[in-house]
Amino acid sequence: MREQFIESISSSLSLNKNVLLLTADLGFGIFDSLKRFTGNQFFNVGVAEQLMASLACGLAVEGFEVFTYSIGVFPTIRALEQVRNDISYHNCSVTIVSSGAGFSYGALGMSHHCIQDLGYILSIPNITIQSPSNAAELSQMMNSFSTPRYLRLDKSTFSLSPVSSSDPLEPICYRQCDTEDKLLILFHGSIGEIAVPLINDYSFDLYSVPTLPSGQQLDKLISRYSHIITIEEHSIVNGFFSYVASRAALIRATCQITPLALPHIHHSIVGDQAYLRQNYGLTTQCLKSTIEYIL
Amino acid sequence: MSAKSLEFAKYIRQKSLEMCHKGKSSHIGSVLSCADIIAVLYSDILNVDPADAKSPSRDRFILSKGHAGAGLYAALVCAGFEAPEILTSHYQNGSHLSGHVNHQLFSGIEISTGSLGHGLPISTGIALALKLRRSKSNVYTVMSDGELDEGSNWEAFLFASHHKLSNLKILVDRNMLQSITTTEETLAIEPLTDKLISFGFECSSIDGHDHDSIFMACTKDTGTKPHAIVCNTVKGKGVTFMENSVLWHYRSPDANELKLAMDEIL
Repeated sequence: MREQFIESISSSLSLNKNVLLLTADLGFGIFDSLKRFTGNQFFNVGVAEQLMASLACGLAVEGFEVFTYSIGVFPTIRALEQVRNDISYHNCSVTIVSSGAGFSYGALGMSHHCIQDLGYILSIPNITIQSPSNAAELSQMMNSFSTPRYLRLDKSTFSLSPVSSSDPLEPICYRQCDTEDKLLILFHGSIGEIAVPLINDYSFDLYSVPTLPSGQQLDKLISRYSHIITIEEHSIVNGFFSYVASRAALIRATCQITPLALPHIHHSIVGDQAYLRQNYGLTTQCLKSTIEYIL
Repeated sequence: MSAKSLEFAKYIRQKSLEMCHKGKSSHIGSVLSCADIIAVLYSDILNVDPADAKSPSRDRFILSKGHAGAGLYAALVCAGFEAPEILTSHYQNGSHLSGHVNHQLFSGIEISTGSLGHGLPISTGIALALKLRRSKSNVYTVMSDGELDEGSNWEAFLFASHHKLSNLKILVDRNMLQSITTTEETLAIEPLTDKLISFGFECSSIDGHDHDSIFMACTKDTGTKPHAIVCNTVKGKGVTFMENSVLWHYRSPDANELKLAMDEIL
């Protein structure tokens, strides 16, 4: 999805002189096609994420539409107060882009694991979080969006096509077959792929929830089903499961919610994304066991 | 030195004292320290118009030491951006006039500040934006000296110099005191002017209470370089018993102290 983002932002820079892209010295090689914008619309601000966030605020209050780019948790947690005080409080037209959601950079170690960011950003008002699970969702998110926004780009992708035309601000249906509304599987990001091998063997409805806070359709979904499984490549604390559970509590839903998420620990074990997903139980087999237990 | 700037400074000091007394708020020493700087800027330097507060051609002013917010609120009232009555709501329940600068619902304030080390990096972004727009407007940012402990400022110094943001004018309120004791006992920042010069800035060191010096520094042509003006000041300036005392970073004047202070300002 990173390459698709580069194509999209390149197009935006060409079409709209009001669009700016800042990088905190990351993106070696991938920004080569943007060299012609250097100094006018594209700036490498150096290894300075706090500065990048505040610069974006200053540029945005003067009318520019700004994208900031880095990887992992650097553009968010490293610059959290700048995101809160500068970008969010001043309602800036800024999209904070992180390439490398979840364990995308799993082998690089704990510092590069992007698995607590949702909790931090969700705690700040006036920011939309978007984690596209595949290229189709990302494409829609680049065409129409509200700011301030946090855009998380994953290394892996979810392979199915949606059942019908979709609005990324609302849950996107990828499979609907449970006529009894018994089991709903909700996922945030590409990790939803672990459900795909099970769709022919079990009866469940499957939705991507790429945008947090989500629209009203999520509340309607939550209130319809008796069991919900949430899947995320993020800490079980203050992430997607927490968000869905809080919505369920607020609307007094009676469903049971079972999370598939990462344990709330520091992960010193390294490996590629597939290995770490396996290591922490974010697998088709674990999802299968959970479904069988529920059904 | 203009009579207007002197009257402006007196108004800032008087109103800030009243606000801090009524609201039992902190930071009066910090307001008095930079009152002359803000006064000269709003009376003689800044191209701003209360009737067109968002004019694209205006100069931008950022008070990065947001804890001196009372001084900025008073200055904007003195400049005609708001009616004087608004100042009575400072620090009051339900008010938007927080102790630290809040841009919401107060005309003429560009940016909210309060957490140190934010104002300069944002100002740098604004300065870059103005350059990209080929604007002739300048960005004036008042910082505290203790604030220079924050690393984000030094990121901004690097960026402003690298990109030759000559429209960025930084005024450091160098009163030598920060939250607990002196800057040099806390985390020494001297030789400050040498540091700023080494970062690629044009640097001036002036008496931060001398209006002519402030005016001259602010209007100096610095070529392609951003300008850092170290304004040597006295914390609590103008009220003898508040001068050079960290206590008045926190304490608000009671009724008797307010009267004594107002007598000195007059």
